[in-house]
Amino acid sequence: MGKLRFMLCRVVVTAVLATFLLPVFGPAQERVGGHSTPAVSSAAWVTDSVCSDDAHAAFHSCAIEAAKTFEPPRTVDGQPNLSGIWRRRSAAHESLQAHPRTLDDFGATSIVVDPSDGIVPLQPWAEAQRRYNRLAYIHHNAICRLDGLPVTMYMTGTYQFMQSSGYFLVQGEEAHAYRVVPLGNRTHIGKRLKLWNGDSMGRWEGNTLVVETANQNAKPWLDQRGRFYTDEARVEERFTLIDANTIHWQATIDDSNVYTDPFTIALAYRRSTVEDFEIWEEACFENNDLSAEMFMDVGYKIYPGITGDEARRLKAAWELEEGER
Amino acid sequence: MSSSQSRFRLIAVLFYFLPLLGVGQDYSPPRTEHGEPDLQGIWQALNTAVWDIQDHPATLGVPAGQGVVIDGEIPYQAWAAEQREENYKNRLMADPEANCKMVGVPRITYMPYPFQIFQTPDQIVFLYEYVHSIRNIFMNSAHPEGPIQWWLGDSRGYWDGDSLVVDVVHFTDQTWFDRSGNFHSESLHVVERYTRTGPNHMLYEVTIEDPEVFTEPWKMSMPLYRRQEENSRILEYECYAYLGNEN
Amino acid sequence: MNLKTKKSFVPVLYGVIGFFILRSAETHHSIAAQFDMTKEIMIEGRILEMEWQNPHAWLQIEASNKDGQPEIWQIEFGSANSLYRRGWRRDDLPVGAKVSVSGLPARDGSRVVGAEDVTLPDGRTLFAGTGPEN
Repeated sequence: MGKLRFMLCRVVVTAVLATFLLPVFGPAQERVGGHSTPAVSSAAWVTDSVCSDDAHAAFHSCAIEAAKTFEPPRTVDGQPNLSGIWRRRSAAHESLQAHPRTLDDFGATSIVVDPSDGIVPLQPWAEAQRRYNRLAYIHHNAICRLDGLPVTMYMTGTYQFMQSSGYFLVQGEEAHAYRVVPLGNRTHIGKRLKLWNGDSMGRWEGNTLVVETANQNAKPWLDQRGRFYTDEARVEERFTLIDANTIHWQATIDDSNVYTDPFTIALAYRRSTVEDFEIWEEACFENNDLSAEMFMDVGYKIYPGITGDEARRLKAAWELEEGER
Repeated sequence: MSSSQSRFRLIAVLFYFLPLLGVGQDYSPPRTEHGEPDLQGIWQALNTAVWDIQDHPATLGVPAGQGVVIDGEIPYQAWAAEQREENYKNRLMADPEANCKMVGVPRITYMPYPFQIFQTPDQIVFLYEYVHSIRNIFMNSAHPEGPIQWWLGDSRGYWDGDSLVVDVVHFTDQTWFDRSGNFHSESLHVVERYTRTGPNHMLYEVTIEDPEVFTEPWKMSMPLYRRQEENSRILEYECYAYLGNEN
Repeated sequence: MNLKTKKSFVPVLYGVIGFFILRSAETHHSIAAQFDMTKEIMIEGRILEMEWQNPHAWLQIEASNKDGQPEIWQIEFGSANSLYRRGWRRDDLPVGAKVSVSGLPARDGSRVVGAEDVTLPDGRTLFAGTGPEN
């Protein structure tokens, strides 16, 4: 009887959690309040689109074409309307490059669309540094730090975009992350001010919102594999609606201290279909002591970030070392 | 009396009485494209409420201040008044702000950091510099069913004339109203009113209700000031990242 | 407490499924940094209380070690928000109930389990899928 109940339990758990496996990236039931009946079996976002998002590179090429002829819905002041609740279609926070599903990873194709081989063009010293990072340091998200750019745009699964009065606002529920992008003609803050999320400025180019970010403190990583950038990095993002329910997003990361060339990543945001979804407060640091203790107990340290100067010194040391081998 | 004299008297009488009718007294704020008072911008409180919401003399590192509590007294129940004294003694270690935690409502408003208001008809967003706190005020909607404990509660808003009224419930009991140990329970219920009073000023009024801690509701009131710098931004105060321990 | 290595297919599959209790699409730090994903741990105990918090909700249970001494174990779930949205409420917790917990053991050896399955005597699984009234 015990064994039967045990097997039955497993079947029940399997059946219930099958709804979590389809679709891959998230549970189909997210509801506001009350003991409401969850939606099951269909994706929690619009899947009907001219461009499939299974493979990032294919999505990227398709989206660029689709954007040429799509006339987006507009806000009252005539800008394409990016507002809404969006699901990012990627697991790039695990690794920017192609990686399989494992017990720890959802898995995804590479979101690197340039270079076309999908490999992040780390300089040799930086690849060695990345491996060390991964062993030695805990990922910033695990200890409730902000994600920086571009990572803020793919760290979590559900976002709210809002536009109003000369600003573009992005919220992700996890650890109450947000970023504010002032639109129009502004100057960057002074070089001595380094921020986790840097300083962003946006402008419209046709139907595309272009956002430039500088002044980052470079403490967050690009992914859980320890890919990193320095405080001199510059990031340019482009947001374009390609149909009523899909945003094409791309980011070009330019940091010649770390990468051989600027490289570009791209992914899709799909409009959420969850009715009346609200972003709620998700505190992080307030109740994270036990988890943080567990990371430190197995030897992780907190990643200190890296300046352009430090990177150049490390690179010079690496090349000297390599030259002497 | 000639007709021009009587017209003059009529106008004088009207000028005398109009203010009593409230006409010309209240500031009429600019409106968003949706017709609501525009609260957007970067704002900050400029008082000592974060130290102590009541009248307090100066001490080392703490400026003197006049309280923001209406009528001065906080109507604690007897046990709670003692708890407040206990909190005060332990404040350097026990204050959530000293531990880099979120500080609750209304304290987040009068923390010594700016905040930005971002407004759409369905949702008004308050973005605070202190540990990137954020409050989404969902307009004309119901609180989700409890019990829920959020550090900044759940906020539901509506317009009452030109005032934004925000009803907040679903709090933890872990936050304090100030650095002096004024506190509340999970039953805290806050009602805020935001009313623009001029191009660069807003009146912030708060009603506090908590039947587990106070004998009756009580109120606070203070002006909020628009930041004037041309390049004004919300920056970052990532408190816990500066703590130095491995957390 | 029963610790075993995941060698056969069923436990591996179960781990993959259980993975989705521990995390939704919204939690993103690496589980492997905190828990040993090559092993599975099983504990029986009774529910003391639950901390309904973000970023993780924690279930506290009292189990007996092999000397019969009581030990407090913490069972880590996803965020309280995600449990709420799946229909679970603080008052649904059957305090005092006996549960069987299986999940991932902590890498640092502490009495913490990354929850995969928490089963009540009547066979119901706590906090998986949808709430009790669904």
